[in-house]
Amino acid sequence: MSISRSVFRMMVGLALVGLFAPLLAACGPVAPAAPAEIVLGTALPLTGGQAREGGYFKKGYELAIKEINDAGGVMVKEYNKKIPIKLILYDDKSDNTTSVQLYEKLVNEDKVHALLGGYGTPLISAHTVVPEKYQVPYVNGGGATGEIYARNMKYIFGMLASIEKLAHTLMDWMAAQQDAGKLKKPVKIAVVGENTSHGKEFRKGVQDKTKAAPDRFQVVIDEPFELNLKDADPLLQKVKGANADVFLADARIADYTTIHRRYTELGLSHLIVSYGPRGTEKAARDALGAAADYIVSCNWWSADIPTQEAKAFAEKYQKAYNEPAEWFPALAYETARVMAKAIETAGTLDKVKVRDALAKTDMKNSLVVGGRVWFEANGQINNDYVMMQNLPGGKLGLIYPKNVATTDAVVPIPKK
Amino acid sequence: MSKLPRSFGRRPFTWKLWAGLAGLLFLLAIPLLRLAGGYLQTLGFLTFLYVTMSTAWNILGGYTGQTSFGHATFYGLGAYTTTILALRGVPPLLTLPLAGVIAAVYGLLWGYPCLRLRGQYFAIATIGVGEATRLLMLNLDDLVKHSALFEGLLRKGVLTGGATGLMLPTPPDIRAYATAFYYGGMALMFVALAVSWWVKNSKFGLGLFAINMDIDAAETVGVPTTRYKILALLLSAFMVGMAGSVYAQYVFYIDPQTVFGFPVSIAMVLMPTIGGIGTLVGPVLGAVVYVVVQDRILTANLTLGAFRLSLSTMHLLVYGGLLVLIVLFEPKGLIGLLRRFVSWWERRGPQRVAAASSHPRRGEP
Amino acid sequence: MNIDLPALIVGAVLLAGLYATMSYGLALIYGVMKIVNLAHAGVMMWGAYAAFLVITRLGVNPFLAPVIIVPLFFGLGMLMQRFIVRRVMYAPPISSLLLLFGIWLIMQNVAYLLFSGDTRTITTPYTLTTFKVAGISISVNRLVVFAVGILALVGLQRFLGHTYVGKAIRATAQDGAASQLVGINTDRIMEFAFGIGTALAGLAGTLMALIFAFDPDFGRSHLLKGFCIVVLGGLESFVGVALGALVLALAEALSILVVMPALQDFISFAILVIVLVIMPGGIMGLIAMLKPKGVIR
Repeated sequence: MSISRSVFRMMVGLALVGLFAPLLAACGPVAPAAPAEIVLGTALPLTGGQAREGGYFKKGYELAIKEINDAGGVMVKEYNKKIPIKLILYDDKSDNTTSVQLYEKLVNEDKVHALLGGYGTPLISAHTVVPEKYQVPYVNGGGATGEIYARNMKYIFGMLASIEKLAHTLMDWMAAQQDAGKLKKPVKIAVVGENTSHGKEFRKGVQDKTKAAPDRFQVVIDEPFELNLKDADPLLQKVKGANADVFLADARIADYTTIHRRYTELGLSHLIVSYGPRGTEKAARDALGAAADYIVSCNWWSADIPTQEAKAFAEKYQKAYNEPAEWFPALAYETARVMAKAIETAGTLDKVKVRDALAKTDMKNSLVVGGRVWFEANGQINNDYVMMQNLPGGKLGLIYPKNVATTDAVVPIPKK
Repeated sequence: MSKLPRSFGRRPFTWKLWAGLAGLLFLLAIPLLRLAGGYLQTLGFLTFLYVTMSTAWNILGGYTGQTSFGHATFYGLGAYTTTILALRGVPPLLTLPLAGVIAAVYGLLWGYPCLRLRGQYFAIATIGVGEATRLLMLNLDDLVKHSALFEGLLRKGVLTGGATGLMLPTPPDIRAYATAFYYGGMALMFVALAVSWWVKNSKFGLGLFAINMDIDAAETVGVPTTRYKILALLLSAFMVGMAGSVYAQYVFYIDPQTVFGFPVSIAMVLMPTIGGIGTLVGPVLGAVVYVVVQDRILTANLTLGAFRLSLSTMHLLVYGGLLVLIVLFEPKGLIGLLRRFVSWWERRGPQRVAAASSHPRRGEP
Repeated sequence: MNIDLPALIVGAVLLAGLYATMSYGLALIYGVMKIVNLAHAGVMMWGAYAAFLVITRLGVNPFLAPVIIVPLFFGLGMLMQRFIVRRVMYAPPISSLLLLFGIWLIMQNVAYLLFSGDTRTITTPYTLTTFKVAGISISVNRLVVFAVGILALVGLQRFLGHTYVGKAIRATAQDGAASQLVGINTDRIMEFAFGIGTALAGLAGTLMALIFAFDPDFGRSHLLKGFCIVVLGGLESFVGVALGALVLALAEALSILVVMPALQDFISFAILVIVLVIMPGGIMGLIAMLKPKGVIR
């Protein structure tokens, strides 16, 4: 039997009123004058598929903010005092809709002064609409795909150079190896990438360089694979059948481990093996053992970069969390510092002015490759990558750029 | 429809009507009030969307009894249809009904063969269809670009954008746009509710209930079961498709994992089942509770001394638990619980007993 | 492009053993109780995590892990049947489906809570070792998984055929009322069957954890493959399940010759839907179709 329409209306009305009452009670007048703290907000994947990376980012943010607060806070000229930072951190469960919802909440309910980014291109692509919508300055250290910054958004800034550039760097390095006689020419490439914009941009970057120099490179197989792969067998059987000289992949830590395990089990071997930004992670090297030796990676940061800032961060991080520093927390740390610096430069918490200060950022003595942080017109940084190679015995060698390289790359990979 | 007043008060009819109107006015005024800085508006919009989806699912799953775990396919298709067309210059509002139509057509495609299956098998088939669709949409671009036949559909080499997803250009005044969508979403919700109400009180709906209870008997009595089942699926798919379309236009970014994902299908099963499957108001209640619980839980933390547990993943855990409890103890969901409470309330006071005994009781209210 | 066909086929056969283990539990539960067990996915996932805990936290030898896990899951299954599932045995089948779905949700989210959503792998001393047979590289891991799976199934088949309990299970599957009439305690038997089914799912999960990566969402696609195999191969015979598993594994492996590897699962799901649809009336129809022909008793 049915309930009459008016009862339905009553119930819906009551339900909504009753359940939203706490929200009603919570909203009050906006506080005027000098705020007691600068409120920064972020939503990170702390659970779900990206939990590991999200966890690193959390640590990086917290380390940076603790450091700033220990020194008294950020100097805001408008109020002529140092104000400490409060970070509101939510878990977006690696889900797009949740991420958007949480950023809306941060802006409207928590009334943040600025936003720090999340991690992961899909999440970032989805939630960056929110800071742009409400005109809140936003800088992230976890989204590298160029598409994020191709939407003419004024309030979005990113600390990671694009994946396309990563692929180009890798290809240019290979070209240099060919010129040095260590790699044959032309060379056949097998490229696979995770089925995300990250992976697609990587594959496109490889294809672009191939088309530009057909005498050097030939792509014999170009395949996507499902994210969070459980069984790498079908993919690798195809790679095996392609008889390539070089194997390039773009994958997350988990998929890199899964794929390389099966790679080894199938007895595959190539002259050069690279998983894009992955390769040096301790967890993976432990799991793969000697199988991970000689993998070349191209990344936004490494603890072995011989600059003072990089070393200082590596030490701080090791001391605070008792684990070696990887690029995730390093970039997160720097992201928070860049935002703090922008507020300081702007001298105020006014969102538009902070945004302008971000756009004009020129921060030296940074731990990023090249030591300097600045943003292009589209909001994305455009600095260099650092390339590394895993060496036997759990060691690591920096192979590019020349001014930070610690060793010559071992090319081709020695046959076992 | 019954006009028998329940013994709630002296003049029950007017009281409920006024309360209902007050609720409606509140909903209409939310964007103007800018409560919680406008967050309530976003939450309200999401609620309208979920109520629409919940009600639409209920037509197939509740009235007809064909539990579908694959409704995300309609949601996703609606979202993608709108986005793809909008990126090629079709005015977004026009894409709304088109999105519904495409979703319905797809529903016909896989629904026609699958609807022959009974209860459990249909459910399994829908899980299969849902996952298969998601994988297909994830890889469609790579499949299509090698085929000359479909090449025309690609624009700059992108049809569905695969895993990258698709991005819609944001309009200059996002705030006004969002408010317009709030009301649009509300309108869509009322349309869905109206359709659900119409179905429930029509001969068509009677046929659906009959199919639910005993399909063979229904067939014998002359109910065109196949045709009705398909109609129910089409109606359901159409509305969910439109909901997907609205979602895409509000969020400006969609990707296959989000809109075709199993979690979306799960949500569409959980909301009406917990609220009260097969009723008119059940899905509404289920959706409202779902959104509000999720919102509150998302940022909640449980602190037991030094042990701090983020409750953000508890949402589905709670719902799984609720589902188990409901299946075991109160299959009619929250509405069933509410009715039990109402009947207990009615039986409470002696004066009510006297008044009630002079009314023709209709058994369990 | 020259794919190594023999290696592909050998790989498929090894995988089929695993698939068979995973499907048999499903088939048993359905055969005896006519319940479609969606929680099977959750149990498999928990089997994987149990293996993870036992191997990495307790340091147990990976090949001994099943010895601990299987009895544990058996007990778990019996408890689940006695206290939860039994209540909806005589309700419309959709109730048991929803109930088990709810249980699956709970299992999945408890896993998220305890282990977070990271994809994990188990590394054993044997993980990367391979040996060559006739030029085909075979992974020790996969071979052992295959062997354990087959052993379990053969053992089960003997159990069902040669013990009182086993025969009672088969009797209840054929005709519950008649079984009661001859004095079989069908309630107890159903607990047993559910326990065995759950134990098999746990075993399958443990074995899968050794060769695949897993996260709390793991299990869903395998569940669908399991249904596919059960429908393909029929219920009451071990041979049927094994055959169905082989057919599916081969179809998957050979599919990479025609479609992208990323679409491999799509093939399995499409087969599932097609098989469900063209078998008239689903699984029951298949049995009804084959009964008069004396193919199944």
